[in-house]
Amino acid sequence: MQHQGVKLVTIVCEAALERLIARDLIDEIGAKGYSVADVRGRGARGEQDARWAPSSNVRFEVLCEAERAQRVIDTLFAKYSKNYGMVAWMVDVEVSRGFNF
Amino acid sequence: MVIDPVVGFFVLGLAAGLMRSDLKLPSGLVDVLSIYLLIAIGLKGGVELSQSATPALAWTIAAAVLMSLGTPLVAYQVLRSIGRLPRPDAASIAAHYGSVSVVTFAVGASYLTRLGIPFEGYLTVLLVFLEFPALMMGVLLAKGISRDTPWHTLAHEVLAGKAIVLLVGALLIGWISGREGADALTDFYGGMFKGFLSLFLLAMGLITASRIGDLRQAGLFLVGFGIAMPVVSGVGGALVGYWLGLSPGGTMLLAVLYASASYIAAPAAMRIAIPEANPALSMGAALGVTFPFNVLVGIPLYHQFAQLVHAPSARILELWPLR
Repeated sequence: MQHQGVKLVTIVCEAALERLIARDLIDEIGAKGYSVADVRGRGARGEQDARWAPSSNVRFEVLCEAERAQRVIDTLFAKYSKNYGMVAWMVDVEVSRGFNF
Repeated sequence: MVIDPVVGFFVLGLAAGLMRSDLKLPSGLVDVLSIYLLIAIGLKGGVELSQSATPALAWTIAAAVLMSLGTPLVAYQVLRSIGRLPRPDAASIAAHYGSVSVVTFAVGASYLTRLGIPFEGYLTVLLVFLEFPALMMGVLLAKGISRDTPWHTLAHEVLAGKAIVLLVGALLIGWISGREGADALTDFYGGMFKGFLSLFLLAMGLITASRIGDLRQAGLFLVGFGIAMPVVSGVGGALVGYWLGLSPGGTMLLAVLYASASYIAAPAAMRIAIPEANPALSMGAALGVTFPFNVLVGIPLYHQFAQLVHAPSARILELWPLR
């Protein structure tokens, strides 16, 4: 395992934003990749039920170095947090060998 | 009063949701059902079109679309001045009501088929063209013509969205294949249609019940709006249908189209195009009030409107016979 100050950034937000955030991550922020999953849950903006596409959530996970991780959060929050439900967190992770970012 | 069994499934879903049953239709199933419905409706329309298309149809479509823009304009005015809603919310809700609901159309068509009342095949074409102009109008109402508006994204969202792609695609396939060519598909997309529609309505009942909380945010005004607006639009649709020379069945379906509010294409498009609008309000009104109203009360009502415009004196005499 590598110890290189790799961060895992997780963003949970409305599913409507999926395509926009995917594009931002790669084009604007320069992340090398991401994973995205459908999730459901409850938060300040009400219950997000997975049964219906317009009101479900997605969770993005991005592995990157610390400085880019902060840029991910700052950029996305500046763009979307005013009008869309969004929450993010980051943790330190150890990554498998051969991972480039 | 004869109740269409598919409507019974909607009520079942609604009841199950309200009593907090653990009944749940997996989201994948709902996706498959909506894909099926869109294809089936498009295909049928295309086959009908192959039998009866004329150049005059283009004028009918243009006229129907132009008149349909009355709905978002009226809705916006009412929501702003009487409802006192902020501009983005009023515009977003207006866009929802100006657009159309494919499922409501399907229930309406099923209603007519059950009563043996024919209707013009090209109504599916109208359905396709009525889907998106109101969405553009909604954005215009919200933002005016400004450089900020993500026209590119919005156009892509709407025109490349699932609904339009499947409807137009199936329409073309049906049109090109014609009745004989599409014959092999009739069992699946024709014969089994009502069955799949019933499952979809079961899902819609559950979903509507789960969003009942939105109504609390929407408030009494939007509940009233959700009932009054479709009725007004339904009247408008019946009048336009008669003016365009549609049959009574066709007139009724045009009224259904005008009266319906989109809750698939519109919410997705509006969430991106008008981010400041609160989706709970538009979904609460369109899905929580208007959809059940249209399915339970509206469709037979618009049928009455259509009959009334086509033979007013005969119909009035039927209702109030002279003694």
